[in-house]
Amino acid sequence: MSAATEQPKQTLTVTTNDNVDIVVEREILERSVLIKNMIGDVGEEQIDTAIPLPNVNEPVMKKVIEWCEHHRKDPPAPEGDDSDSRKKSTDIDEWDQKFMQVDQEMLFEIILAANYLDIKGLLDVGCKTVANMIKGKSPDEIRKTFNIQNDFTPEEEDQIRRENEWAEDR
Amino acid sequence: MSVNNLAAELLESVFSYLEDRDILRMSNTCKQFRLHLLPRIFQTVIFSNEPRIADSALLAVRAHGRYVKTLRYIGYAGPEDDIDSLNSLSDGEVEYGEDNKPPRDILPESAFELFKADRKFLPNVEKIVVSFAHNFQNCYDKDYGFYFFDPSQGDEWKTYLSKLETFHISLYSADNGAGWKINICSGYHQSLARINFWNHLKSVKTLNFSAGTRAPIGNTGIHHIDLPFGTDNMPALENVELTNCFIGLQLLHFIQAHRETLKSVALYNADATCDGGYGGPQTIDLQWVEFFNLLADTDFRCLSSFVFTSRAPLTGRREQYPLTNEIEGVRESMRKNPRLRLFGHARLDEKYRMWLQNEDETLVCFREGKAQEALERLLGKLKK
Repeated sequence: MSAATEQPKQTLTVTTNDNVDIVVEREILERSVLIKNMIGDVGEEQIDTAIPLPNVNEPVMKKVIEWCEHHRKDPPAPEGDDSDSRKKSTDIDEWDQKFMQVDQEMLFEIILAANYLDIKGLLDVGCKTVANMIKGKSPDEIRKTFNIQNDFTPEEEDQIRRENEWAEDR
Repeated sequence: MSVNNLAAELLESVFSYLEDRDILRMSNTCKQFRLHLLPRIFQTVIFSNEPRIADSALLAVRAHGRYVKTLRYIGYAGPEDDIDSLNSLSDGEVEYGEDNKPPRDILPESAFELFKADRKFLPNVEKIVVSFAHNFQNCYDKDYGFYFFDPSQGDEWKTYLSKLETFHISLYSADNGAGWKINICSGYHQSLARINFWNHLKSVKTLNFSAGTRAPIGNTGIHHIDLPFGTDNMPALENVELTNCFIGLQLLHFIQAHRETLKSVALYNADATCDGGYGGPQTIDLQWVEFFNLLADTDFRCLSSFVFTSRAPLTGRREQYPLTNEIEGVRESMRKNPRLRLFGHARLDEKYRMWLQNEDETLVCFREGKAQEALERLLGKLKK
């Protein structure tokens, strides 16, 4: 054990929208660009005040923290290089895959939270997970998977079938 | 909370991981996603002369033409098609229908309708790509290649062409499976000569012409293949991009003819013609040094970009290749000075018409450094 790791780790408190206080190591919480910037804005002296998170509830925040803890040593995400690249890989590492094995409600809540808290890595994993649930499925299978209501009339479906035909065997 | 409640930007991130096929299926699930995905699905519409596909593309363009940025046409023709009755954008790749017969209608009615549709249904189209898929085996037997739409055929087509600002044409190349390249086939030459619709392309500013990697154009040997454009009846071009070509007087004159309007010239996979090997004696009308020098001495009004790449791979792969050490030296110099370029030298061989590099010539040219000097002189004259 080196001297540095023995130092007490700085912790922060966040208050979720269901009024639960969670104490988290600062380093872990700073995976969130939003929180990192908030700390920067309020200044170091205000840091012991609880940070309110009006858009995230406790169970979701706990998942987010779990992810951030596992990925605390990840290098920061590269900026703005993915705008143009189609056909991005949907590979997800094993730990993240397990982490994402949650019900859909939770999956989408995690995506929303990752987006709100600005945690790019987690947002990417969430979006990839949803993309993988769509890949290779027929429209009907996709509807079943996500409980999507088919709101097309038979005429509309016919029109779509015909106007898609040119694209079918690309 | 469900997928339908995700904000558009989050949906966009999810969809960015999907390929076209999945995007299409996703868009068929419900109105919300259909609407969201329309711009992506119809950004590029590809249609062919197969009536089923052309019909569908026409329907798509009528309904969603405002999303279309690129319209791509791929022409197919079967070996049974009578050339003289085609008069169309087409060529030889055999795409048999369910009845195992090639499509007979080379340009179906709906394809004409698409061309007629032009700006009314396609207000945002930026690019028209015309492709000719090719099946050399079939054309080889019959000694014909591919056939271009004859602009005298219809006013719709003329009107359509006259509005294009960007014209990109790529030729597919192939061999017959036994190594004979498509450019031994006289049909290939005739077809190129028939690209005579430049005078209908009055508005074209950007010309992107890509010959096949197995059939470069513009060389000056015995079996030369002329560039399909000259100095007359051409639109006022601002940007020219040629891929897989030889440099020569023809190319020089073509570029010079546009000196008033050209802003950028790009030559990719460009080589100078050289002698030797199975190619037999070649008529060499221009070398890199003169090519660059003559361009540098041309009074371009607004040329601000000149880009070229050579194929010049410098493999030195032949055993006992005497110049292997020199090649290493060349690579080293190029690493140290990124401005240094290789100037490719090649010829088409007599029998199979393969595109053969002459690395010795390329090395000599590099060693002499005159082409580099001439290129620098040309680059120095570009407008800021």
